[in-house]
Amino acid sequence: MSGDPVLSIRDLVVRFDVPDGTVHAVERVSYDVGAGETVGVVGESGCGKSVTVMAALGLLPCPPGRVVGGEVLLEGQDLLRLSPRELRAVRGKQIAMVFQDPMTSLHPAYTVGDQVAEAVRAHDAGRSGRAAWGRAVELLELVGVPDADARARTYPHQWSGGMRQRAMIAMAISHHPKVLIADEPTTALDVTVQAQVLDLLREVQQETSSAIVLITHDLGVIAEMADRVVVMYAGRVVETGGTTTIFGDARHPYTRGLLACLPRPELEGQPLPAIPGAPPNLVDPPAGCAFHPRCSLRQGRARCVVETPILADVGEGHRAACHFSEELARTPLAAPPETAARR
Amino acid sequence: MTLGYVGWRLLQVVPTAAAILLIGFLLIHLAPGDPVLALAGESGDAEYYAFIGDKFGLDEPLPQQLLTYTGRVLQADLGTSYLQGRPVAEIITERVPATLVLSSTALVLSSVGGVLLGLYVAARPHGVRDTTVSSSVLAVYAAPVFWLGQLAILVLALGTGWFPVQGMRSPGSDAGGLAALYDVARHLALPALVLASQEVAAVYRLTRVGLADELASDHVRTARAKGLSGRRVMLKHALRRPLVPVVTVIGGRAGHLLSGAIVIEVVFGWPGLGRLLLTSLQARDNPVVLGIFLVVAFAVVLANLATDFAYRWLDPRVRYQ
Repeated sequence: MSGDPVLSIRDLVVRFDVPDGTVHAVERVSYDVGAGETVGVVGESGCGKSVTVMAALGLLPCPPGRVVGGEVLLEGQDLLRLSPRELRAVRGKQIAMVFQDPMTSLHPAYTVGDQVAEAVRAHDAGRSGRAAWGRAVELLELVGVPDADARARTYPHQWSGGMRQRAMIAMAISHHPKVLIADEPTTALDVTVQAQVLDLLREVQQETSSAIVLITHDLGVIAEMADRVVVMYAGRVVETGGTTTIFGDARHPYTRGLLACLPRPELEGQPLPAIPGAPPNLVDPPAGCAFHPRCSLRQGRARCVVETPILADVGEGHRAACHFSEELARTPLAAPPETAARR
Repeated sequence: MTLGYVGWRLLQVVPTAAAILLIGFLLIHLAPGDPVLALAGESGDAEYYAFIGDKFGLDEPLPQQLLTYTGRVLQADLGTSYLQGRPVAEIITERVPATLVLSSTALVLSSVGGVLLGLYVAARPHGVRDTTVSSSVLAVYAAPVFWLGQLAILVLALGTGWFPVQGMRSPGSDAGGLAALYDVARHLALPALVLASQEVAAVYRLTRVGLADELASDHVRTARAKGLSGRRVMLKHALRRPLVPVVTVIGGRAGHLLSGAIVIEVVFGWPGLGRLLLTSLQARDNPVVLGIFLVVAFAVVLANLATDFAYRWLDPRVRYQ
C-alpha cells in the first residue's frame, strides 16, 4: 500500500444484544485499504468480517447491533460520526457494495433495469428517468449482460445467478465508487461462473480505479485477487500482510490451519486436513487468545489462556497476533498452492 | 396479463353464478316456515291460502318454481316482494347507495389506516409504539361491534353532541348540494369509524409482520446500500410485497361491501341493505332475501376477480394459466 489509505477502519468494536447476553462480534478491528488496492478479508462464518463493513456503512440492524467504538475513516472523514443523511450520500456513491446472494439481493417485483436506474438516480437526482434508464443499460452492457436493452425490462427471476451478480456489480459501479465492498460475491455461484465474476470485478476495478474489499472464506479467491490479506478470527484481526507473504510465511497458527486445508495435488487420495474444534461462542469468548482451544502451537502454555495477544509487526508490512509467532518463522510452509479458482 | 386471460376468468364466473343461484334458491325453500302461512296469517281459511299460493306461484312444484325464477333472473327481474308488492330489484337498488357509502368509507379507512399503522410501528418491532398500537388494535377488534357502536353513540354522539345519533340524513332536511353532503358525512362518521375500527386489525397485522420480514431481507439491504432515502426504502422496496396478502384481505372485504354491516346498520339506524335483509328475514319475504343473497354473492365473485388481477401487478412472478 502506498500513500494515505482511502478507507481506514480503526479499533472498531461492534456488539449484538441477544437474549443470552452480548455477542462480541467485532473487537478492536483495524485495517486500511489503499486507493485502487484489493484487500482480501478472510475467516470462517461468524468471525465478524461482514459485520465490520456493515457497521462501517451503517447497514447493521440496530437493535440488536451496536457500534460501541472506533472510527471508520473515508479519506480522513469518520463515517461513524455522520448523520444518517450524510451517510446515505456516501453509500452507493463513494462506497458501494456487492452482496453474497444475488438470488435474493434484487427486489423481485421491479425490473432489473429499474433497479439499476434507481441506483443511478439515487445520487444524481437531476438526471431524468429516461437518461437514468439509458445509463442503466450502458452499465449492464459494461458488465457483460448480453442484449442489455431488452433484458433490462425483465424481472430478476428471469435472470440466472451469475447474470444477477453482474447486475449487482453494475449497480455498485454506477458512481465510480472509491471503495467497492464485495461480500462473498462468488459464494452462491457455480464454480465456472465464479471465475467469470472475479474476472469482471478485476475489469471494473481497472475501469473505475476503485479499491476493492473482498470478503470471502475462500483462500483460492484471495490468492487470485488480493494484494493484501486480512485474516480474522472470533471478531479480531489475527494476521495481516501481503498476499505472497501470507501464503508463503504465515505467522499465525490459524492462518496456517486455513492454508493447510487447501487441496494440494501431492496430497491426492488423502482426506483434507481440517482445523479441529469449532469457532468459539462470542457471547462468552475464551480468555486470552480466542484461538487457544483449537491451537496446535499452544502445547499447554499458560500465557495463551491468560493474555490476549496483540497484533504485532513480524516483518515488512506483516503483522500477526500470536505470542509464539516467531516459532512459526522456523517452520516453513509448503509452497503456495495453485488456486482452485484459476482456470 | 392478457385479454384472453381476462375473458377466460370472466367466463368462469358463469358456472359460479349458476351454482350461487341454485344453492340460494334451495336454501331458502329448505328453511323451515311456510311463506304462505307467513303471508296469510295462522288463522286464514283454506281458500285464502290457495289464493295466496296461486298468486305468488308457491303452489307450483319446486323445480318449476326454480325454472321460472331462473328465467326471470336472466331478464334482470328478481321477482316481487311479498310484503311491499314492489319489484325486488327496485327495493334493493334503493338501499344499495346507503350501504355502499357506509361500507366503502369503512373499507378505505381501515385499509389506509391499517397500512399506515403498520408503517408507523415497522421500524422497531416489539418497541413501545408497536406494543401500544398492537394491543389497542387487538382490543378494539375483540370488542363486540354492537357494544362499540352503542359506546360511540353514548360518548361521541349523546355525550358531546358532535355527531347525530341515528340515520343518514337529518329529519326534515331538504337541503341540497354541499349542505346535504355535509349532513350525510356527519351521520356517516360514527358508523364508518366503528366499522373500520373492527376491520383495521387484519390489515394492520399483515402489514406489520410483512414489513418486519421485508426490512430484514437482502433486497431491502441492497436498497439501503444504494443510498436511497429511508422513506423510499420503506414505501417502494419494503411495502411492495406485504401488500399482496393485504390486497387479498381487502378484496375479500370488498366483496362484502354490500352485506358486511348488518349490525352497524341496525345500531345506527342506517337505511341500507343490511337492515333490509334483517326485516325481510323476519317477515319471510323470500324474494327480497334471495335477491339480496344473489346480489351480494355476485359482488363477492367480482371482487375476487379484481383481487386476482391486482396480484399480477404487485408481484410479476405470479403466473396465470
